[in-house]
Amino acid sequence: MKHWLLAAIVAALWATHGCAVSHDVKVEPIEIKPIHITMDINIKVDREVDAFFDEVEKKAAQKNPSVETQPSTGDKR
Amino acid sequence: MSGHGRKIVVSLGLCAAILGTLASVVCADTKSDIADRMAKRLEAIKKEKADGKIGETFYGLVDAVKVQSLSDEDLKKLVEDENTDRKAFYELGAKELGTTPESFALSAGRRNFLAAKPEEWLKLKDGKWIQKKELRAAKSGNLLTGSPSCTKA
Repeated sequence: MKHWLLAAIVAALWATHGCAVSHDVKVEPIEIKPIHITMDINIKVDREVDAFFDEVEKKAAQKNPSVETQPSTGDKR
Repeated sequence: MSGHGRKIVVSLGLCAAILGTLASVVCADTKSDIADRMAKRLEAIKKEKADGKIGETFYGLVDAVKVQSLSDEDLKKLVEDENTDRKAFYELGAKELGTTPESFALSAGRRNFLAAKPEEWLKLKDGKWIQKKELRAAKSGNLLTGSPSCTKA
């Protein structure tokens, strides 16, 4: 009887082990740093350009008040 | 040449090099200097744009809508001076931010396309001229890459 019980337990363990499925999923780290840097530079360039052309408009308006100033496009981009 | 004479020549050469470097640093344009010059000619630039003689380009410069217009020496000088100053600003800005002058030029092109008035002429990426009001879509993306529906020689 004991032999049967032992055999059943071993068989049960073996079957359980056989059914066990393990998944080794490796997720590669997503590198987003360069994108951030590129966007950051582009935003800085846009701001610099806006600031410069706004300064030109402002100086022209000071020199000649009749010069119509164009609105900044900084917020539109 | 004696040893003493050679020393004098070398010393004078060094002095000239140092003075030249200093002069280039002192005389280098700042963004403010460039903005001053551009501000002085802004009225003329706006007038020529309103007259349809010049327009903004995709690459952040101004250009004559009709090549024949450049036979007018004053207009030619105006365009050249403006572009020289703009390029100087793009160079300076790029150095400061550690990027390329081209990125500044393209950003300025976008900015000036958006700021243009409906009757003003714009030179698209493909080199064709179009009046802003003729553009089918006013969105910046289409504005910069869309094909023109009419062109001017």
